[in-house]
Amino acid sequence: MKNIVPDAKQKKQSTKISFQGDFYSDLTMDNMLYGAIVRSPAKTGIITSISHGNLPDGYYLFTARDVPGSNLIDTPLGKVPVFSEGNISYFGEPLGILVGPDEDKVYELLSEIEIVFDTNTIESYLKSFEEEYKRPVLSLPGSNDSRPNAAEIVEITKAMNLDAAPLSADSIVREHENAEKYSLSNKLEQDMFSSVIAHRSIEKGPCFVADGNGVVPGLKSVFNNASFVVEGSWFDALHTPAYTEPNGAICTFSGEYLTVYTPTQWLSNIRQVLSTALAVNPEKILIKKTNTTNHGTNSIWYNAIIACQAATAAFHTGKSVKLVYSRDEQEKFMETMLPITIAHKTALDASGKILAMQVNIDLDAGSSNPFAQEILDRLVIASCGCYNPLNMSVSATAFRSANPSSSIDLQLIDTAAFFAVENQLNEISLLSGLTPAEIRKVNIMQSNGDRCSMPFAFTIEKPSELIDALVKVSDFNRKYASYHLDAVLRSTQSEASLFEAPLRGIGLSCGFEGSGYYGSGIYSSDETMEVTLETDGTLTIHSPPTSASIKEIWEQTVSKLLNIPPESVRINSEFDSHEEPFLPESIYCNISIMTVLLKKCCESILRKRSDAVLPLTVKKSITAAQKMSWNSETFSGTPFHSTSFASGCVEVELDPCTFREHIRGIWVVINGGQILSARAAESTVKLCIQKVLASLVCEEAISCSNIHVSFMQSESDATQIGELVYQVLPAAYTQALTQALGCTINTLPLRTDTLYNRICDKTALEKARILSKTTAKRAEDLDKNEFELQPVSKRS
Amino acid sequence: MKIPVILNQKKIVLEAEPSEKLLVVLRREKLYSVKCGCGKGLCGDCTVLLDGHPVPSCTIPVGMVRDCKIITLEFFQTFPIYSDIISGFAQAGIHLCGYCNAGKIFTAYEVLSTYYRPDREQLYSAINMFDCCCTDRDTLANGILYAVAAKHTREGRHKNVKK
Amino acid sequence: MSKNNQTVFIAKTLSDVFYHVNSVSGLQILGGCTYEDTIEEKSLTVRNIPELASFEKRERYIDFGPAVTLSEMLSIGRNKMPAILYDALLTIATPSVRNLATLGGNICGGTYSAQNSGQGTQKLTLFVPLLALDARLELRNQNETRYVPFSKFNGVPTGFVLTKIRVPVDEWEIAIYRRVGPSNIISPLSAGFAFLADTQKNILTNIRIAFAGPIVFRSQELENKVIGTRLPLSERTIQMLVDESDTLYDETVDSKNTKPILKAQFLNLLRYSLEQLT
Repeated sequence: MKNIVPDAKQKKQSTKISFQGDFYSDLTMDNMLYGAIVRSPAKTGIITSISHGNLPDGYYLFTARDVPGSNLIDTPLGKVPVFSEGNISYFGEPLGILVGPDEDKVYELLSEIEIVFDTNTIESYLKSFEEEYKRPVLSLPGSNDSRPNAAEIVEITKAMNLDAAPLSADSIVREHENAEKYSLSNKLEQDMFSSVIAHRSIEKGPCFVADGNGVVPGLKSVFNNASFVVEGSWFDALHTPAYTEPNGAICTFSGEYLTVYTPTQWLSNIRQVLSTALAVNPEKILIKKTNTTNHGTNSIWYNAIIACQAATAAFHTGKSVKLVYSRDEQEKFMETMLPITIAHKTALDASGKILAMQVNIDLDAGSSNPFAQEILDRLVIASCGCYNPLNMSVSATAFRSANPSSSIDLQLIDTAAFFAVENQLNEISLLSGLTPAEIRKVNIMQSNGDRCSMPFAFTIEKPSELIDALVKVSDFNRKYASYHLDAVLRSTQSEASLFEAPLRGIGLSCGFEGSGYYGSGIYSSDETMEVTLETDGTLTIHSPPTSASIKEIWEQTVSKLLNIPPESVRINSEFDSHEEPFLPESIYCNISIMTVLLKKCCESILRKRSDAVLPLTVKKSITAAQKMSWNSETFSGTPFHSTSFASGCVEVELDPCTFREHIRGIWVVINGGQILSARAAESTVKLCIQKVLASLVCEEAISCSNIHVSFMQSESDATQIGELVYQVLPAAYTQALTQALGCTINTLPLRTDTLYNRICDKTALEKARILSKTTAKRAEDLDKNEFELQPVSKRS
Repeated sequence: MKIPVILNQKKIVLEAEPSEKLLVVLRREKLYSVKCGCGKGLCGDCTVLLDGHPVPSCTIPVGMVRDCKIITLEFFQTFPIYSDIISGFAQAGIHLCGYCNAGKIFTAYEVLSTYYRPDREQLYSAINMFDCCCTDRDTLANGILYAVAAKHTREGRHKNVKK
Repeated sequence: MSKNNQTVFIAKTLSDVFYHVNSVSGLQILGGCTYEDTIEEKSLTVRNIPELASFEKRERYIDFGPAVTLSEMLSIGRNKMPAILYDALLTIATPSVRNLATLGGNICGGTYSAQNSGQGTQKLTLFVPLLALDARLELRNQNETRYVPFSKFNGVPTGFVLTKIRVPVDEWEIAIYRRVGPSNIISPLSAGFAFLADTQKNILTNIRIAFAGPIVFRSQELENKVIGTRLPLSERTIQMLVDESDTLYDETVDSKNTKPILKAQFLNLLRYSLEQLT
C-alpha cells in the first residue's frame, strides 16, 4: 500500500513526531532490508561467540558490540541491554539482529547461526534446556574434552527452537493446578538467578500501635483472638489473546536524521532510548507513530528496544531496516504474563466484620521489568479491595527470574489483587455463614464519612446500593441459597449420580478501577489538556490521536458546553518539537481525567470568551492540591484522581458429562459517574466481557448469550470503566465454579480438563478421608472389644 | 512456481513456492488489507474471497489456488455491497480498527449474501467464533442487520425471495 | 521450477487425478489445507474437479465428493441430512475455515501437528459421526473400485483415491453428538461422541455408539448386547452397560498414551445417552 521514499536531503524538520494512519508492517521502502532477531537458545549461560560461517553478500549480522551508543538502556529498575553482552538472562534473549534484502532468506540463515557457549556453564544450560523442554538430556559431545566442538554445539542449538516456550500460560497452569498453597518465593529461592527487584509493604491498624504498657499487640494477637480465621492462596496468570499487529519498527538514517516508523505508545521514551543507544541527538530523531492496535503487556516500553535493534542495523548498513516480530515472538516476549501469587489470611469477628487482613504478594518479574515497583504499588493498593479491615498488613515482592521480561497491561495492573481478595471474601462467606453479598456489605468502604482505617481513600459512591441492585437483577440470593443447599446435600451423598441435579454455582464480586494514579514513579500525573477557540468559532483540542469513541464524546461535550456544532470541534495532533507528549499513550486515552480537564477548559473559555481576543488558548492540568492528596513517602492518601466501582455476578452450570462449564448468565452493575455515551459505554463493557471470557480458559473462548450490563444513575464526573470487568468477572467465575464443584478453584486461567482433575483430586481425597475414618473407627471398635493391642516390639 | 490466478478480477501469474501461504504472497503483491493474525485461520485478519467465499488466506498454500478467483478488501471496496456494510457499521457505531477489517467486512458479506433476512441464530452462528478485539459481538450483529437494511434499500424489494 | 523442488499438480478431471497418482510417487492430495501446516514435495489439488466437489442427495443416502467443503455440506440443512453430522459440522472452527475445509481432508487428515510431541493419529471431528452412521467410502484407481465400510477405514491405500463418501440418511429416534475438548483447536483432549438409537414398540431395535479422537471406539459386541432390550432401561442395565463399556474401552485403548478424562467423558456421555432411552 505505501512505499515511502525518505527525503535524503532533508536537513531541518519542523516536527519531530507525526501520527501515521498506517500500520508499520504494511510499509515498505526502496532497498529496504528485513531483520530477524537472533535469540538465545538457553535461559542461562555465557555466550562466547555468535557467527555465521558464510553470510551471502548483502546480509549482515550485528550484535551488542555494534550498537553505536550505549548497549545498556536505563530504566527505573536497572539497565536493560539492546542485545545481550554474553551473560544470558532468559531464554530467547536477543543476541543480535540478522538483516538482508530477502525476508525468507534471512529466516533461513537465522537457523544456521552458530552460537558458542562457555563450556564451563554448558552443563548447566543443558540442564535448564532439559527442564524446559522435557527432552532427554543431550550429552555434551566430547564432554571429556575441554575444548568445545562448535559444529556439534550448533546441532544442539538448532534442535532448540522457539516453539516450545519455557513458560506458557498452559505450562503455568499445569504446574500449579493442584497446588493448594503455592509460594513463588519458595520456588525462586532455589533459582540462583532470582533476586528481589522491588518491594512494598504496609502495616496499618490499632494492632500496630503500642498499648498502654508499651507493647505492640501485632497481627498475631488479632488472629489468635478472632472468631474465624481464613487462609487462602490465589494464583493469577490471566492473559487475553489478541491477534493484532505484532510489534516492530522500520528505521532509516538519512544524513544525520534517524526516522522511525513504529507503533510506539510512549513517544518521549522511545526518543530518549534511541538517542542513548544510537548516540544520536534527540532533535535529529523523527518518530512517525503508526497505528497502535495492540496494547500488550511489554509494548509500552520494549518497543523502544526493538527500535534500537532495527536502528543499529540501519546505522551500519545505511539502508532502511524493517523488523517485524513473528506471532510467536509477540506472544512469548511482548505479551508475557508471568504468575502473580497472592496469599491471604483474614481474621473475622462473629458478625463477619474483618478484623485483620494479612496479604503476601509475589510477582515474577521475569528478567527485567521497569514497571515492577508501580505494579507492586498498585497491587498493594488493591490488595484489600473495596473493604475496610480494621488492621492490614500487606507485603509485596517482585522477583527477578530467568524468564522473558514480564509486565502487565497497565490498564489491568491490579486485576490479580481483586481476583485474590474477592475469592478470599467468598471463603470468608462460607465460614461465617453470611452470603457473599452480605459479607461484602458488612465490610465495604462507605462514602458516608465512616471512619476508615485503611491508608487508601477511594471515592466510591453508594457501594451497598450497587450491590443490592446487582443482587436484585441477577436474583443472586435465591440462586446462591439454592445452589448452596444442593452442594451441601451432594457432599453428604457418597455415590450420588452426577446427573441427579444440575451442578450449578453463582459467584459475586466487586472491584474498582482507579484512573490517574498519583503515585507513578515513571511519570508524574502531568496530564494536561489544551484547547483553542479559533477565530472562526471552531474549537481545536491539542491531543494525540484518540479512539473514535473518545473523539465522539469530546465533540459532544464541547458542543453542549460551548453551544457549537460537533462538526466544529477538531483534534489537532501536530506537535512542535517542544510540545511532544511526554506521557504514555494510555494516559491521553484516559476518558475520565482528560474529559474532566476538557470540561474545565471549556468552562474557562466560556468565562473569558466575551472579553478575550480570539484565538483563545486555555490549558488545564491536574492541580497540585490534587496530586498532594497522595503521600508517596507514607504510601497513603487518595491514590487516584477518580474511581469507578462495579459489581459482577456469574452463574455457571457444569456439564457432568464433559466436565466443562457453561455460563448461564453474567450481570454487571457499574457506577462510572455520568455516562457520556450509553451506547459506547455498553459496547465497551461488553467487549471487555468478551475479552475476559476469552482468557479464562487456555485456548478457549467461552461464550455467554445472557449478558446484562447496567449503569447506576449518577451526576458525578465520568470515570474510566473500560477495564472494570477484569476486576470483577474472573473472581465471580471461579467462585461460581467453586460452588458448583464443591472444591475451591484458586487458579486462572484454567484448562479444558482442569475441572475434571479437580473432581478426581476431590474424590481421591474424600476416599482417603473415608478410609482413614474407617480405619479409626475400626481401631475404636477393637478397643471397645477390649482387644489388647500390644506395641509392635512387645508383640514380636 | 508460476501460478495463474484471477486476482481482483485481473488475470495475473503469481511467482511463489507452492507451499507459501497465500497471505504472504498477497502481501508481497502489496495487497496489505490481508494482515498477519493468528496464523491458524481463526481470527479473520487475513480473510479474502476465494471463488466468492471468505476464507483465511493464512492457511492456504498458494499452490492450491491456481485458476481461482481471489478478491481482497482493496478491490471489494469498489463493490456496492461494501457501501451497505460500511454504512451499516457506521449506524451501529462500529469503528473499524484497521487490523481486522477484512474479517469483519467479509463476515458481514457472507451473511448478506447467504440470507435475505438473517434471524438471530443465523447471525450469531456466523459471528460467534469470530474473535474480534475491537468490537463486541452484539454491536457487530447490529451492524450487520443495519447493513442488511441498507442493502434492501439499495436493491429495492424482492418478490418471492427464498430465505 | 521451485527452489525447494515443491510442485503442486493440477487436475481438472478424475482421470487426471488417477494419472498423477499413478505416475508421481509420494503424491499428497490436498483438500482445504486447513489442518496440515506444510505440504509435501509433490502434491495435487482437487479443488475444482466436478466429480469430487459435488454431492448428490438420494432418498436413503447422500453421496459426498471428498472435495465438498464443509460449508457446502451445511447448506443442505439439518432436516435433510443426519442430525449428528450436521451438529458435528457446526463445531468445526469458523465459517470461513469451513468454506475451505473439505470432507475428504477431515476424514484423511489427522496426524499430529509438529507442535504435538505424541505419536499416533488424531481423528478429526467428522470421523465419529461417519463411523456411527456406518458411512461407506469409495476408493478408486484407474482399474479398480473398492467400497470400504468406515469402521474398517485405515487410510487410503497407495495408488487409490477417495472418490465418494456415502452417508446413509436414516431416521433415528435419538441422535446425540457431543464434541469434547477445546472448541477451536484439535489437541490430545479433543474427541467426538455419537449415539444413535431407534426403538419400536418399547424395544430397542438399533443402537450405535462411537467415540473417536486420539482413540477410536466402536463396539458391535456392545451394541448387539443392547439391541432387543425392552425399554425403559433399568438403572441396573444402564450400569451394567457402562461397566461393560469401561472394560471394552480399556481393552481397545492404550490408556498410557491417552488422557484419562477422555474415558470419563465417554462413559458419562454413554450413561447420559442411555438414560435418554428411559
